[in-house]
Amino acid sequence: MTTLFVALDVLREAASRRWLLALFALIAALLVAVGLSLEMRVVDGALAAVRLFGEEQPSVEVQSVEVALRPLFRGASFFIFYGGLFFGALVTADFAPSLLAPGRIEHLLSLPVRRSSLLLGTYLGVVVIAATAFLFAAGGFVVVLGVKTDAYVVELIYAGLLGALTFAALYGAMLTSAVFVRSAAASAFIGLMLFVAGVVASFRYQISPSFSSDLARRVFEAVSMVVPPVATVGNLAMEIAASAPVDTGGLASRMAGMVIFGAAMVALGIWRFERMDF
Amino acid sequence: MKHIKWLLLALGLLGVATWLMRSGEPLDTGPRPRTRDVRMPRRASKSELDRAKARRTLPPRPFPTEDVAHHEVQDPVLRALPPRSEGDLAVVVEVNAIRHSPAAEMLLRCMDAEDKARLDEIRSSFGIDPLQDLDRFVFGPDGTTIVSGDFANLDLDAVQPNKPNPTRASYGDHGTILGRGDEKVAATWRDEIVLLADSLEDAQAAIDRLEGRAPITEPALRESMTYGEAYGYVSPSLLADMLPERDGLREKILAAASEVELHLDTRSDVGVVVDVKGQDPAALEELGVMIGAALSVSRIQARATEEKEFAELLDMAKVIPDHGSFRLEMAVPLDYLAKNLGECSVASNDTPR
Repeated sequence: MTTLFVALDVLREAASRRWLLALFALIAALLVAVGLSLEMRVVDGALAAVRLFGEEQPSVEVQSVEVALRPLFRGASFFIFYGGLFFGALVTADFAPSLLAPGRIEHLLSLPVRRSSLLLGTYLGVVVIAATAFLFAAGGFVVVLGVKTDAYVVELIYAGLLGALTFAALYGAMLTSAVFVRSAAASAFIGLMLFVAGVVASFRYQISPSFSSDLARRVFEAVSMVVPPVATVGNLAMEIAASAPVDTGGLASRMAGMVIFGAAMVALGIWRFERMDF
Repeated sequence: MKHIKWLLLALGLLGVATWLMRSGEPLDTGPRPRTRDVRMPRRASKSELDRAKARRTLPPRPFPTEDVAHHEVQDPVLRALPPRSEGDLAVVVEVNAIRHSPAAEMLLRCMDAEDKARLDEIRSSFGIDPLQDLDRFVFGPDGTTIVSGDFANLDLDAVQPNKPNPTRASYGDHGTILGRGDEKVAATWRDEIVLLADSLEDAQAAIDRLEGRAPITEPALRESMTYGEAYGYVSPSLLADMLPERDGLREKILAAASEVELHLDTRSDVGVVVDVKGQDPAALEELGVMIGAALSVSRIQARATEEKEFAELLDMAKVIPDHGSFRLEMAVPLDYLAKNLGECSVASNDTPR
């Protein structure tokens, strides 16, 4: 229960931060810009013409909206997933270091709250904020494109959902890094490095043969094995947005792995946090 | 040591996470709709230009004026066709090419015993093998049908329209009129062409064109449009029959479309391109949108009724506007055919030869 109170406290603190509000305003502004700049002529579910920023787009194929706009849905899914992870890692980087800041941490530790609850609550609070932002952006795209085309592609919501779960994995590592090194910059660096490593790890089978040294290849395969496959999930999010069939069993397995990876990182952070003297 | 449980938990969770994240790797994201993979017959390829060139087996005719020079064709099948009037049909089916296409191979593999018996009956009745000896089949203007191929072993009595009283008369240098039935007249030219015409005069006119005795007129099909495994003009009413009828689409097609050119490619998957032209660009543009909308509605209905495979086919159908005309493109991937034909479509050694 105390974990939830800590999480709520994080949410309250986030609400008081203007730059988080600015993030939501930025997402909203982007959605409004897309909504205002895109004009489509839709006849019985078929896209007949597109005007972007007032310019008639040449050679638009008259095709079902859902089919014709698949590249757009893929792009929106890409934007939501990768954009969300990138900005999420930057924007949330100083939550944990500020929790551990001198003066505040002593106050928190004097309260009847276990250290593990403190860290877990912070983790949950930040993940909830990120998930809200992901779903806000995804839902916004669904509504804007739906109003424009009458085709409400709810599959875009999956991009937000998968983005939020992937962020949970990244943020676990960011939180733990903040416990080891009390620095927002280091936390953001770890988040972004894990993000990049996750993209590389998604293509480990393609990259692995390019190592000339057998030892280097084995090391790469071993290290990349434990890194969350960010791009694999990102690609699946785009496939889902484009209504392409996906291996749902494989996707569920990866998402469960992502969440457990985040939990493992938090457990590591708690182990360190429990042993620290303040 | 008392906090070691968190470290052990972290390591345990990391092991489980790794196993879950990597299980079944690499992850198959499933087949994507293959619109761009399907070869669409939009223009003649090098091999098709070479094919058309190789078919110029007739000697050129002397033309009276320069303006009819571009009407000259030296391909016997194209020259035998009567001139086309507006709205008439002229479609060539490259039977031999289609027979050797992957799609036809699949269909042949799925022939049942009854189909094979029918094929054997044709072989014994006519003396030719439809799977080997036919080259092209043409549905021409004025009800003319032309079949080209190797007819050296053709039993001429079998193609007599008036079988009880067979007649055979030579016409021209290499023509034979095979008798007059109630409705059709059959004729052959060399061992290359068999034709069915509505009247004796039409049959004789076709042989006259082949042998250079008829005046040069605009051909029903130009050599430049002989690409794909089926090509030609169909009537706007036939296009209207092919598409789902809704909101007066049929009337709109008949009013706006004056020329409908069709090309079909079967070299890998099956791709169909239909070019629609008309006199009124605005009406044609509106027609393109209506056809696109009709396909879209059919797709939505197919999705709603769980006809997923048909909906996937409609995913790949589209209308492309092109300044006063539009192109309708449809694709049937081999995967779709295989899925619908079932296991019989898988390659084995008993394909009919």
